[in-house]
Amino acid sequence: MAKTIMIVDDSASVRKVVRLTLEGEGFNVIDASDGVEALKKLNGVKIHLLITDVNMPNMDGITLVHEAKKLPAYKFTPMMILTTEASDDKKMQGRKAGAKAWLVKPFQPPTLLDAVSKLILS
Amino acid sequence: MSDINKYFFYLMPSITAAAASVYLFFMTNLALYSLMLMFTCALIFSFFVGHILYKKAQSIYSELELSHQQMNDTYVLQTGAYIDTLESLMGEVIPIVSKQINTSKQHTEHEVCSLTDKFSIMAKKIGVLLDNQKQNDDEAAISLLLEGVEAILKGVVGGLGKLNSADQGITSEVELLSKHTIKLESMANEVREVADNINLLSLNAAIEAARAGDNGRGFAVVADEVRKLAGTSANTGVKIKKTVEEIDRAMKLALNLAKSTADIGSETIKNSAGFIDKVLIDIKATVNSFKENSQTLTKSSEQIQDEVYHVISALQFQDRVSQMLDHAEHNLDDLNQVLLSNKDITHTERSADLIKKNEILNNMKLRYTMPVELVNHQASSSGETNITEQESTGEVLTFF
Repeated sequence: MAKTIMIVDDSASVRKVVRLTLEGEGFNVIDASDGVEALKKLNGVKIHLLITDVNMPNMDGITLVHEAKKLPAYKFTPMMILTTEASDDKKMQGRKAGAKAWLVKPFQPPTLLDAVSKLILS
Repeated sequence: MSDINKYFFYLMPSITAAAASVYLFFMTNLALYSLMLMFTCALIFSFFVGHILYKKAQSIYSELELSHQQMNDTYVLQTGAYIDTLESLMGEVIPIVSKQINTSKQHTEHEVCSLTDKFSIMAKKIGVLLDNQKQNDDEAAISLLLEGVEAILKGVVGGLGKLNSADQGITSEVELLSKHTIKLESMANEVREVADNINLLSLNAAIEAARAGDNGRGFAVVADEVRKLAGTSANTGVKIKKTVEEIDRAMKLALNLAKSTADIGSETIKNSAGFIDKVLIDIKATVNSFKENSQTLTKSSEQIQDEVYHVISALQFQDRVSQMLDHAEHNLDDLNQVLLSNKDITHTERSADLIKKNEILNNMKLRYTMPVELVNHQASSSGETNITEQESTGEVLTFF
């Protein structure tokens, strides 16, 4: 059965590129445009990985990871940050919130797929 | 302008007179009392001159001071008007520029999304074509079909050959049969001759029987019957001969037909075999060419698919541009807020501290999410124009 991944980003074009990359490898994809919408869509739905941007309106990505990790259904779900930011401070914040990986945009599809496969297998 | 030094105008002439007197005392032979008299006169004169000069200088100073004050007032008024006009201009321009930036951001996002969709559809269609090509394995199917066609055609040629051989066999048999009919005709002739002889004999027997009188009556009956039998045999012989002639005619016709058919068949089969060989060679050449083209097409399709995916990836630039425009929009909003908050403060109450320049610049830096924004900020601050963005030396992908 195909695994499900959620992508959260306020940029529609980034959501499309990630969707195309992941669906090409047989994954099911759910998307959301910010942290609030993501939490609404999660609502107990089984996902195998959460990929989120950092800078979004209403709720940023690091807060989303922190809030999602509080929910029992997603406590052990791997989460990855996909963002233009590359500072060590931000990476540390993401790590503290519970993220397992940090990928800087613009990304190459093979790099994204490599990260996804390692996180889902772990 | 500082106040005029009053004592300068009184003392300087006096010191000059004293110095001149000392000089004269040492350089001339004038008596001391004459010198003292000259000094006193000079001193009185110098005080008088100093007073006049002081009064003149004071008057000029007052005039200059008044003029300076007037210039200051004019400067303040003009500067105030300039700042008011500049604030008003910024208050109008900043929201306009902010809206233009927002519109550019939305248009760019919309068009890039549309492009991404179109390229995605292209990539998927190419993928479907490639998958179908791999699954169908047309090359093997065509090769198998070709082999099947070749076997069938060669079988047909073989079959035709066999038919031709059979035809030739039939011709031989017909020829043999024709020889038999000749024999049959000869036999029919013999039967007729025998019948004729029997008839002749029976006539002779009838004559002798008539000569024998009453004793030959029985023999005459037998002779009559034999003569009748001979007639019947002769008729049968004639009929056999006619039938054999008819059969012979038909067989000769059939033989001619079979011979001509066999000749045509051999020639046709020979031509057909050659034609089929040529066609099979042409088909094989076409199939090989098709195979090569198919392989080239598959390779090109895969390359095109890769390029399309690269283009789709490259369209991520829109996200970076959108973020930078977003930050620029917020920075302009901050500037606008400064203008609005200081709008109602009078000129006399205004000071540079109201603008909080460093705080604004610091907030701009905190808002940035990409190194290039910080580079641009620092380049503008330092006045350098040739600073280029350095390649990020940090890892693209980090696992925790």
